[in-house]
Amino acid sequence: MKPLCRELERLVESGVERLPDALQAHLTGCAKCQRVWRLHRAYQRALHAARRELTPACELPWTRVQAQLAARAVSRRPLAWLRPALGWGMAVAVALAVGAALLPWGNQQPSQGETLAQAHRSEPRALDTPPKADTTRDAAGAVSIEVQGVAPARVDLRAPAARIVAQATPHLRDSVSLHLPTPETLQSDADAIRHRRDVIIESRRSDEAAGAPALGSAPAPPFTVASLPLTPFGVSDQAASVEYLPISYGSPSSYYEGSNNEAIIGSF
Amino acid sequence: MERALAMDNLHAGAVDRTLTDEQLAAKAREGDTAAMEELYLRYRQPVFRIVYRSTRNIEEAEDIVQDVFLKAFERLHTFREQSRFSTWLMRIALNLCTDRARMRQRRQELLEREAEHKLAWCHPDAPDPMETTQQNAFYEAFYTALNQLPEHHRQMIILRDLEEMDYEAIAQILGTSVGAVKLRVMRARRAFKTKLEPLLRAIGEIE
Repeated sequence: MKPLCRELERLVESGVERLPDALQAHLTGCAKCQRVWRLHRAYQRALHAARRELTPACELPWTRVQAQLAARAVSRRPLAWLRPALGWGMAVAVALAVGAALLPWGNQQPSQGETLAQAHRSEPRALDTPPKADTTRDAAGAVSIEVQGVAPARVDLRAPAARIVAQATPHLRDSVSLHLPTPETLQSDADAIRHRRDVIIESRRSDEAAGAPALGSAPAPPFTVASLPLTPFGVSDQAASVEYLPISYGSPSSYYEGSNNEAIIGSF
Repeated sequence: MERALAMDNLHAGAVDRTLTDEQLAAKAREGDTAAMEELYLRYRQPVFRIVYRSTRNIEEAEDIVQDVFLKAFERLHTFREQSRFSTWLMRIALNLCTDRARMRQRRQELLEREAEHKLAWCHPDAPDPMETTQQNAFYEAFYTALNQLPEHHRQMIILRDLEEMDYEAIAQILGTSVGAVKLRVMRARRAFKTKLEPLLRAIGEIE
């Protein structure tokens, strides 16, 4: 490339509109530079025309932009409080989970929802339960009332209310009554359930062997039974300081098995 | 249009118009809507002009202008006043133009792909040849070539050759040096001329 050609190219790229005389003379003899210069001139004309072109006015009103701003602010507001709330919620959940994991279960008092085994593990026994599962009520009349699927109730029947229990099931054998397992033998809830089932099955077998009528319909699965005193307003025995925890009632066929003042409450 | 402009002028009466852009931006950052409005009225048309040169579509350009100001007012806290407000605003506008151009290109590719599958899709941006008169053929050639450029080249042509901004202002908008801008402009012009030459030859502007 000749120096003049290079010079012309440099000027064209810098955007000049007129060439020096020396380069004008060069153009007449160089076809390549002529082409470059013509293209550059056409480009300049196109640019001038484009600059002169009127740009339409923007008719976008401020109110539209303002409304969009407000709408975005409103849509963003819930996220503004949701984010810290989620953070705090997660923190509380983690703290609760950690606290629950570290809390020793043995220090808690038995509640309504606690299982029988937990209740006995956590608390010294207040009742004198028989040492064996198959034995009947002890002489003092200590009976446990338990209905399947319901939290167990500890009833101190050494109070006068114990006699009501005795009257409640004249045709039932004493072996039907349930017994609390000793805490030493119960390692878990599953153990307690298994133990209770064994006791009931064994007592039913002994009843059948003795010819006693079965409670409820014959093919019924193992169930637990208890007799409770009834008052016109429901189960209550304040004089005996008997404490009953909520009990769910079984099928209607299990009602009125005893006398008018008593009911046998069963749960299948 | 005049009515809209008159209404805008009426709305903007609550703020001191002698305040600089940066002072208005500071007020707007504190939630002063009158300051926002004043900034909007000052830069609505300059932003629109640049965007329109890139899109050549009034509705699309207005959409972009709205997005530019929404983005600017929502992110005023990021404006550090190290540059002028107008520079910052133009940078937002160019970025949004780039985004739109990418979307348009993707749509174009999709259309071309669909056309290859002989679906009867009509190209929305194709100019009607009956409407293309000799008078606007020159503009058409110019903008056809411009639209064929990559976005970074197109921006250089628009800012430097159409808007006639100086190199320093462009360097501030793009966040680069003056030398780099000069180099980019030179490359953009070279690419533009390559695209423009056959179009100008077709309409008889060059032999």
